[in-house]
Parts: sequence; C-alpha cells; structure tokens
Amino acid sequence: MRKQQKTSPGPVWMKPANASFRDPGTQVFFSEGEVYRAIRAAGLSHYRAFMQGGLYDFLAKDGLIVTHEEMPSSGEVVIKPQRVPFISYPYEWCFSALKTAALNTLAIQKLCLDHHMTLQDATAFNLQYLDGRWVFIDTGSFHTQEKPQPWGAYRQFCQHFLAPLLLMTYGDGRLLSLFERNLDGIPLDLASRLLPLKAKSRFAVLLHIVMHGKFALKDFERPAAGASESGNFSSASAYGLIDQLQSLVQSLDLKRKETAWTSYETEHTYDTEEFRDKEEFVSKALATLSCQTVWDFGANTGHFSRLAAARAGIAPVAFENDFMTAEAGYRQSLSVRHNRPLHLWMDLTNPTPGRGWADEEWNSLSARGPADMVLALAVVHHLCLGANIPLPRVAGYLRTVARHVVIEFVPKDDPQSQRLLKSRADIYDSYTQENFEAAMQAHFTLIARHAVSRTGRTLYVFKTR
Amino acid sequence: MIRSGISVAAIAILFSLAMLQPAYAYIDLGTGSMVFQMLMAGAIGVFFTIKMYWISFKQKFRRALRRITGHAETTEDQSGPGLDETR
Repeated sequence: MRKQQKTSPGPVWMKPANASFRDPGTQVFFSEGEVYRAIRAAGLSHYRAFMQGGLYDFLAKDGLIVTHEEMPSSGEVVIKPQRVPFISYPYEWCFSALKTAALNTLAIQKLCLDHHMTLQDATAFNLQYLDGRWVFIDTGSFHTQEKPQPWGAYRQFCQHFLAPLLLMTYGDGRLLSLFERNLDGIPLDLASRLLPLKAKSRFAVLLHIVMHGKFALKDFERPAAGASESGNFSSASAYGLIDQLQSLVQSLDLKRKETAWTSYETEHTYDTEEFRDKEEFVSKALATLSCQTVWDFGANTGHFSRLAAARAGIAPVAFENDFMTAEAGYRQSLSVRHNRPLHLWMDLTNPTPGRGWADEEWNSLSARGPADMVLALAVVHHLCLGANIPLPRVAGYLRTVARHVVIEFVPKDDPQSQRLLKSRADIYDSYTQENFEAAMQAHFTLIARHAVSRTGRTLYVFKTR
Repeated sequence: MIRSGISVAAIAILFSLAMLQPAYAYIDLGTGSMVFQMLMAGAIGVFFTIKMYWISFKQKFRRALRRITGHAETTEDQSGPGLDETR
C-alpha cells in the first residue's frame, strides 16, 4: 500500500481512492479506515458557493446527498463524508435502483438550477445506497453557473441512465450488462441501434437518444464561451430539459416476467416448521456474532437479508444471479421501513472483477470485502452440482470474502439437488457432507451445526481461522 | 402550439443533421451534445413554459371549483416548479 504524507493539517497518512483522479477540483482519500475528500484550489469557490448558497442544506434535508463534516484545517478544505457501508456499481443494480438513482440525479440538477449551480457530472457511479436511499456522493460535482447554459452532463446522463433504462424497458433487464463494457454509459448510437421502433417512435426517445446520439458523433467547433448567453438558452430551456427527462424516466417500467426463481421462496422443499427452524438458526447466528456487514449469496428475493436487516447496525447486501428475482427482491424490500437491504444482480460463478483504469478504478467484489458475515443458504449445491465448482474451491473463495459464514449443505439426494442432476451425468462423487465439512474446516473453525430438514439439509456456522 | 414547437424542433434537427459533415477522428462527444441542446433550447423552453402555464391554470381552476362547490381546499398540485422558479 503506497502511503504519502499530506502537507496540510488533518489526517496525516492518506491513501488516494483508486477512482478519484479525474477531477482536479477534489481528491478522495482514505485515512485510518475513514474516507475524506480534500477540496483543491480549483474546486474551492464552487464548494463555498455550494455550502453557503443553501444548496447543500436543501439536498441534505431531502436525503439526496451524503452529508459531511468539515475537518479543522488551516490549509486546503478537508471534509469527512458519511461512510457508505458497501459501494455498488450500476452494472450490479436492479432496474428500480437505476431508475431511482436517475430520478434523484434529475431532482438534484433541478435544485442546482434553483441555486445558480449545475452538476458537472451525471455519472451513475456518483449514486450510492445509504440507509435505504440512493444518495449523491460527489460533493465536488457542484459548480456555480451565473446564467442558464446547456447542461454539460446531459450526454452522460443519457448514457448512464436513460439508455440502459430504455433498453431494459423495451428489451430485457439483462441488457444492463452492456454497462460493464461501457463504463461511461451505453453509447447513444448503440442504444439507438438496439431499441425497437416502438421505443424510437416516442418523441422523447427520438430526441434524447436517436437525434442526440447522431449529434454526439459529429465534429463541431466548441461553442464559444458565453455563446449561450447571447443565444436562446433560457431558464425555461434548462428546466424544460430536466422536466422532459424526468417525465420520460418516470414513465419507464420493467415488464415483469416470472422466472424459475421469482417464486422459489414459496416453492422450496422445506415445510413450515423446518423453515422456521432455519430462520431461528440464522437469527441466532446474527445475534451471537458481532456483524455489521452481511452479504447474502444466492439471496433469491432476500428473505434472509431482510431478517438480517431487522437487527440494528447491520447493512445487508443481497446478491442474486437471476435479474428478475433481484428486481422482485428490491421491490419487496421497499416495504421495509428501516435498514433496507441492497439487492444486487451478481453471478457468484463470475463475480464482479476489478474494472476501469488499471483494473482498480472500480473494485472487484472480493476487494470490497471481507464481509463480517456471508450467508450461503441453499447455494452450495448450485455451485458444485450446477456449475462444477469443487468443494475446496467454494470454501477457498468464501475464505477470501467472509469472516464468518452461515452455510447450508444440501445433500445430493435432496429433491432440489436431483433437479440439478436430471439432465447430466452424476460425476460428483466427491460431493458429500464429509468432504464439505473437511473443505470448510481447511479454512474455518466450526462454531455450530444443525440438521434442519427431513431431506438431510444441514446448517453450519464457521469462523475464519 | 406545443405540436408546432415540436415540429419546428424536429425540422431544425433534421436540417442540421443533413448539413453535418462526418468526422473521422478526435470527436469530442460532449460538444455535439451541447450544440444539440442549444438547437433544441427554444422548443424545449416553449414547451416547458406552456406546461407550467397549464399546470398553473389547472390549479386555479380547481381552487375556483372548490370555492364554488363549497369544499375546503385540501391539496395542491405539486407536479412541477412554479413559473417563478424558472426565471
């Protein structure tokens, strides 16, 4: 880990955040496990206007921005923002998460216009999930603007939010994966090619995606500074653009489709008493072990994540491989009043790798861990029997991402395992309970073990050595 | 009037697109986006102003209707910023 000494007072040993190098106005640092943002000379006047003009207070009151405290410093301004427990990326989100993040971005830009400011970025990476809300985390993105001007982040908004939301609405939710290859959002010409005629016949789509995309690909001289002041870009134009985008985003919704997994929670093989027994075991583990971060692998609609969320101080993240089930879970969790779990779309056999510049601008899943606790309930048989991952490798991976594991072993003769084996040769002689325990105990200490169903399913609690 | 605003915008864009020369390298995607917004500005502004007047008119009409029918005023339409906010 490279450390550098800071010249001004404040936190002494600082490590620059991997993703904080594009904006000369601010710099995010880590110091002693805390996050700080230094406001550089280039961003100072904007920051002062943001704080003193009342915009920060408005946004904080509405829960649209991460709050911060200013650190005592005689040199450059250093702020300490509220810590986000888990940083997630837009290519991991559900449809509803991206839609809410889009609407929040537009609401923020509208408030900016009220305060003679503007968002210089509209990247989806600037929104994070904190206490059940999507909040804007880039305090350095607010710039002063004396007179209404075209929105510099308009194209970015369309690429990061509008294009993926439209593709998911008119195509398929899984098209969100295009974001993984296009970290500055889905190019508008690509979105335009992929969208069906039905979508492009909507005037707003024709305007903001098709026409906008064609203009973005043409070479223009940069409009002279102040050209818009003498031109026709009025306040009504600035508000009108945001209003149009809001109406369009608000109208989009995913066509709900049932998949094999969306009804899993009501169709599992447990009887009521067994399921209650399983809930009790997990609750007891959560109560006994001191955990703040809980990752629920193979969460389905997140029943056990919500069980974890019921305990104060726990910020659960529910990972689900089926896009529609993750979306269904997100919608179910909206009914939770406090501490809603974050539902993410994640294939455990291909977890998010490091992305962006030097593979480390946006962290891999394991780099965001380890979690205090990983729940791996009814998931091991999918990894071993469904994806041919040997038990020692499953245990080895869990060791890299978890301090404690609550894990369920599903034997091969369980009806759900048999379903997985229906169309394939049984080459899984090593998939036994004894081998499972040995593989786990190579990395973990066994804390508790409990047989939980008549089909021989067993729950375990392990702790890293 | 809204329709005519849209038509003017559409014609302006189509005309502009026809006039554009293809670029072969070093395209700054943001510049095209800015030029596009400036071209659209008039129509978007007109459209938005009409929408705000329409919302304002509806609010006043509802209030008047409530006064006539004797019902107490209970809620306000919060669907957008007032006209003053756009100036």
